[in-house]
Amino acid sequence: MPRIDGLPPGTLAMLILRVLSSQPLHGYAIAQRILEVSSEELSVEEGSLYPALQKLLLKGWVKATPVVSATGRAVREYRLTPAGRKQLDHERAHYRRMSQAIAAVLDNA
Amino acid sequence: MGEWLRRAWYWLNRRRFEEALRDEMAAHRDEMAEPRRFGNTLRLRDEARDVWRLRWLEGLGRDTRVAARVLRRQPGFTITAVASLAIGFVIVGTTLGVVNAYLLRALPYPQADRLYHVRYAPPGPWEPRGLSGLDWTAVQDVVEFPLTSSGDTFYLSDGAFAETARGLRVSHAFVEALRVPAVAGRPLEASDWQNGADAVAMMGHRLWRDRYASDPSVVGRHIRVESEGRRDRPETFRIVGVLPPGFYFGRDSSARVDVLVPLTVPTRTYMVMLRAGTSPALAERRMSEAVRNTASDLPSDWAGVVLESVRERYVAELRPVLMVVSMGAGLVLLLVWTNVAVLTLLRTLRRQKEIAVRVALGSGRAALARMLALEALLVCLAALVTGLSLAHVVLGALAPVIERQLGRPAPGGSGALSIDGSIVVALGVLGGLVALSLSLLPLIGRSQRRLGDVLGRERGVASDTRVMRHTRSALVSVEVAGTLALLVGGGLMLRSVTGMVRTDLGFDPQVLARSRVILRGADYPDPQSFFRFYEQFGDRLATATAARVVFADWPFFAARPTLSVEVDGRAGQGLTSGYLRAGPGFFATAGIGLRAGRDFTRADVQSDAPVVVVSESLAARLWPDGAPIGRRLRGVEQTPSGPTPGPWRTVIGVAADTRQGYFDGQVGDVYFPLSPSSFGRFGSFYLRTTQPPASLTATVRATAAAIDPRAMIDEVSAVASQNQELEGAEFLTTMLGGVAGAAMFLAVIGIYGVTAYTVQQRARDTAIRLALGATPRSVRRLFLKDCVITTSVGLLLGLLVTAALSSLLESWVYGVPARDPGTMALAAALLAAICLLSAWWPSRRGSNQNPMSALKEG
Repeated sequence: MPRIDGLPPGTLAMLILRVLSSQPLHGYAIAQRILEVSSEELSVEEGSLYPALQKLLLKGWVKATPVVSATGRAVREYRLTPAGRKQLDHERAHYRRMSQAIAAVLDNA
Repeated sequence: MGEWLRRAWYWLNRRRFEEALRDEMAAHRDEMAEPRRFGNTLRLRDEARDVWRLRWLEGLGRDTRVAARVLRRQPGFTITAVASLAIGFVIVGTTLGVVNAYLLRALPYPQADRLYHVRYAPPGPWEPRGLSGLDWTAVQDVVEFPLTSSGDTFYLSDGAFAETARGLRVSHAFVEALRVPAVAGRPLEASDWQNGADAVAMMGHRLWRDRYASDPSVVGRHIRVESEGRRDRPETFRIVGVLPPGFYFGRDSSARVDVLVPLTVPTRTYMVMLRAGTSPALAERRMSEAVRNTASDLPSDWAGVVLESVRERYVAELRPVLMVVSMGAGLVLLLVWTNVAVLTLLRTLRRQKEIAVRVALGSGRAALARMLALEALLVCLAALVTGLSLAHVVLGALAPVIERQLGRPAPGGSGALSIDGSIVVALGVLGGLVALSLSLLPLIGRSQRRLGDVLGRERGVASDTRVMRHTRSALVSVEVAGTLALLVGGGLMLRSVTGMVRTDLGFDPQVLARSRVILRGADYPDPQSFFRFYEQFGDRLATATAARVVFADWPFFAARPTLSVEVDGRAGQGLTSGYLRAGPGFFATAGIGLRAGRDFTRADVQSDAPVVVVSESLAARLWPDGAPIGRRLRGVEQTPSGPTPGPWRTVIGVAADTRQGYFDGQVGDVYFPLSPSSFGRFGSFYLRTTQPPASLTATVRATAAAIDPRAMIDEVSAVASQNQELEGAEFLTTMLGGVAGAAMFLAVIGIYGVTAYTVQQRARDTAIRLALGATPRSVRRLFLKDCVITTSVGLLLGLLVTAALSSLLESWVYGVPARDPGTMALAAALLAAICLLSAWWPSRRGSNQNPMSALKEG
């Protein structure tokens, strides 16, 4: 997984999965959606989205279908598979536990 | 799994996927207000492609190519290593093939482990009566199938020549339990046993092949047989199917079946298949109860039913021989491994420079280990493929020999003696272990040295560590030890075989051939008519073959039936003695020396004279005063109604002792003349001839046919071929001898390699010694010293191993103790000489060198 400024390693995949869980989107839309929801807080090198998407394709967590974008370009639309949904739940649970534990240490130690 | 498929799918459609990626990345960039924030497109595309890659696999491919190239550049090492390992794999593969066919896959019946022989009484004439009506449903909780069968002799008289066939009448439960299959036509079915059903039969594979040329149209044809069991009425069977080639049955599971027909009359059952999970002890108890309820004449001390595992009985005799052979094979593999290990160690030392360069260029320990492992793996793979294919060929060629020497057909037919999937897997695992252990070897000690250290040394001289030296010596010692054990084993068996061949058994098996006449009882109303046939046949055969011919009622190389013999004047004090009935001229024909008196004559036989010939030992025990001729004795037979004495007989001759086997201690025998009344439909006869037995069969058949066209003659066979103890010993001798030879060859390679390496390594040292005035002789002694030490350690170790293992051979050696010091000393001396010779040869090179040239090269 490529290293991204401002994002802990491995988080990008989770974010992509989360964004795709509400609707299928193409690459540019995924990037837009992440920026939008995070109030532009998470600044990623947008291109690093693509190696991450390849990884998700390899794992079988997302599926790609060729579509034509609103601007008339040939792009791929990514859609979450049932396995991807399971993975998302798993990662969210894991992330939540981790951040709670870290927060607990930060607050109480 | 899915990941692999997706990966493969990606690589198959790589161009399309990469195009799609390029397009969508370009589209993304174009839509961005600030394309700079997208990142480096080329790098990102590479990263995306890397996701689909298997880096280690690509590295593996490259390393494999490198390893193959390295091995090709060192043909000496590669060929020796592959050849030695291949020898090991051939020997182990062949042995596994035999063990697999005879022990593991024993008995080609489903659930053979649940089959049991049933014994109602100890061996002897008595058995409880009325058991054909035993109610098997009463024990159906323990016995799944009672396998009822009854053997019969079938005469096939239609066709070119008359022939006997082994018939077997069986119950329906028999075919249900054994699931008797058909290779042509159909198996027997339940309806074949119904009242009024067509009389049907399955034909045995041998009969089908030999008499009907494997013609599939035999199915549906009718055959007419006259059976000995129902002599008066010939039966006609419609053939519905053909049995598979490996179908054997019987007490030893080795009797061929020629015709299998439904059994319709109640018959006693001698085999059962127990239900899964039933213990034989429980089944014995339950069946004994059932027998008590049915049998009509059980004595009060009846011991009950005894069950014996069919499989155990079948493999019990073979297990020890195969054990010895397997141990030998295992030992060879160990030696092969040791040898290749020594070669690998030496090779690693020679490669230190190369390895140092690799390390200096950044190769990590893991990468080095992978390279070494791949080289070992390639060597093992090549050896495995060679070994497996050779083992396949060897087994195919040796199958008939192995079957003969082991004295029984392979349970699944000769075809079962082959390399099957399980052997490939077993050898594959073994090969993998060998490769793994060999690849770990070079890592012993410090294998990575500083480049400067290694390069700074003289050309061709690598540093040697103490660990390396000791490992090498230890491996060579192990090789010597194992070789000694095999040599001693081979030597002991060779001495046993020589001992057996030199042993005078009291008769001449080498010039005796045996065959048997079978007449049809219906054609001969009384014993006299049988006798007339045999007399006429014997005379004509003697003329036709120019050989002596004699009938006798018991074969050679089989323990004779016994009889209690008592002497006139001392009735009641019997001595146990073997006995045999024979025709005129028996002793001259069999080559049994007469110590006193005369042979049987035609008159003795014709008049049923009360005469007897006694063996030397028995005569000495019966009449210690030493004048047996003219004295009288009689045999007393044990019958159910008590001892029954025969007529008094006058001693007319004293014969040399004969033994029916090398371990046969029963040398007291009496010989009675065959009487006209003792002839029946079977007549075994012997020919004293040097002609090959097989060439006589036609003459014997023609002679018999001229008197009675319906007489049947067995193939003439050499009496010597019945000598199974000798054949078994020869089998072990060939096996152990061959294996010991291979081991010795390997030991020579190992010692030669080690010494040659030391000589090369110490070239400079030797040169200085020579320059300072040392004699070549003293230099040679220096090199030989190492070899003497490793060899001595090896020999000592070998003697210990041999002493421990020799008990395995205890029951096979003859005329020599299993721990014979002479054989051990001889083998040790031979091995020591060969070891020294293989060290002396390379050491000569070291001592004969020109000191100047060696020093200059430095």
